Amino acid sequence: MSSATCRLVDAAPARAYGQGPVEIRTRIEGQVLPLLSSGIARAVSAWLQRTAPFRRESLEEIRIRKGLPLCLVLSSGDIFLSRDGTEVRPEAGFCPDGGEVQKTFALLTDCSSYAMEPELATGYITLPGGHRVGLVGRMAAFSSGKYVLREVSGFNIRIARHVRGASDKVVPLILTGGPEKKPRPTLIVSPPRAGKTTMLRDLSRVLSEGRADLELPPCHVGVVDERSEIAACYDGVPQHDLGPRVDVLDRCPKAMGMMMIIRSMSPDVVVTDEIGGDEDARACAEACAAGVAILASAHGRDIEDLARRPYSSWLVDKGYFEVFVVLSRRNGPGTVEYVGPRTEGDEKFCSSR
Amino acid sequence: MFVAMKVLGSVLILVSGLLLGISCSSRLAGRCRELDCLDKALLHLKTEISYGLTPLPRALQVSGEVAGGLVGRAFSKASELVGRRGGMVPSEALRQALSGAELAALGPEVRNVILEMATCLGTSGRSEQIALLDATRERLRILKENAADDAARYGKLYRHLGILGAVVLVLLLV
Repeated sequence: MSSATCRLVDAAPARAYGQGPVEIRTRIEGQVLPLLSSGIARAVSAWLQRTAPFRRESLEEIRIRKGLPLCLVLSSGDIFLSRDGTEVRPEAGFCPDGGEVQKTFALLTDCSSYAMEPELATGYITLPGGHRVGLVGRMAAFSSGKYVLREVSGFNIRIARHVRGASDKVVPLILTGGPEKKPRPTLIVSPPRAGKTTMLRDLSRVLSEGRADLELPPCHVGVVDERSEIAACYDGVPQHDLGPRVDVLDRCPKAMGMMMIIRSMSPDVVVTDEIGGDEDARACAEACAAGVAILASAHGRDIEDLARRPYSSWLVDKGYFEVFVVLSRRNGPGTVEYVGPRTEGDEKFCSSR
Repeated sequence: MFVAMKVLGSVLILVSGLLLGISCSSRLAGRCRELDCLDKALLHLKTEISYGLTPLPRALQVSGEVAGGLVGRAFSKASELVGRRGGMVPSEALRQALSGAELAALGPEVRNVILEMATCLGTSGRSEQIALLDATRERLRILKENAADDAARYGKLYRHLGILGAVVLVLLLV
């Protein structure tokens, strides 16, 4: 496939209803491969055509590193590709050169690095379809104290997927009792790549649509998407299906965005990703105190791991979050290990995927 | 009949000489016009990049529409080829867009200036892009001044040469 003749076949929002193996392949071929240099695109495309559907479906990441073998991360482990897309040992893998990495960077940024300076400073960009591209390279420091990524040498393209129904087992456990059901403040805890964002995304959709079988009325959901990962907005349009009653504050710092969206959009629920510091934790506490249910996520193996961190310990201890959802990759991404309060009481315990 | 044919032939030679002179002269004037369009396109591109932070494909398209002329059309064509949609980097897209025979009048120097700019277009931060476009416009300004001098100096000369050459040819033939 020549990159000169590639076209994005679907830059429209990727409404991920009934996403199956074939659709994953179509999305990668239509949304990701045209943005890779011809050599890399050819190898990945050949692998997609050759491999079994269940393996294609398990593709999570495409890792491109200058001078190192092209790597695909599947849920079962890593594989390396040769130039013609066959799976080989790392020593025999296809190593993209500087020109290929440079061309890929130009296409990923739409030849507009200047328009993506804030994203490049954070180390990732979002593609049409919601796929996230992490970048590494040499950071250049300026006298202003600003750091800018120069000479990009590697990419991690995380394939976006909306797993509809990912939160089905969790939703009943985070709702209040009584006749008027509404969500309780909930914190999703897991190590990286265990499905925190996928869970938040599906929870947002379910809450926004409501669920008659659970007597859950539809809620207005405000999403503060600092890393553009939950809604994956592209050109202001959410690339994931978050339901009909969702307002997204894209790329806004959480600490500022949470109060801003509460004041401006009066949501019933505020959803935000990866509480990562004291300021974020304080903003969460403030939002909880404002009477809005917060759904948030944080890195950690379990609740105790979170309670050991200085910024989040008081948030956990003071009971701002009523429900904790712990995820792992034990049975694959999105394995629900625990749903309940910090101290396990008479709440239900869930350990199935 | 023979005299009438001679007169008709002479008139044809005179008209051809005149048209040839005018054509050469207008080519010089046309080069100045296209350089004006190019300057306008680059100025608008700078605005789109510096104030609008508009992605390059869209910025090229808008600049091409504003500038008009053959250069404007070339910018619009480049906008379709560049970036995520077209799969080309700016240097490839502009090289292809400027390869049309009608843009040959711009001359190799101007093409080289644009292609040199294109190798760095979109690859750096906003302030670097502004500096790049300013430097390119400055280089083009010098070329535009030379082109204007040529048009003023040689434009009239070509017109006169055309008609005078035709008169000399008629006298020789008669």
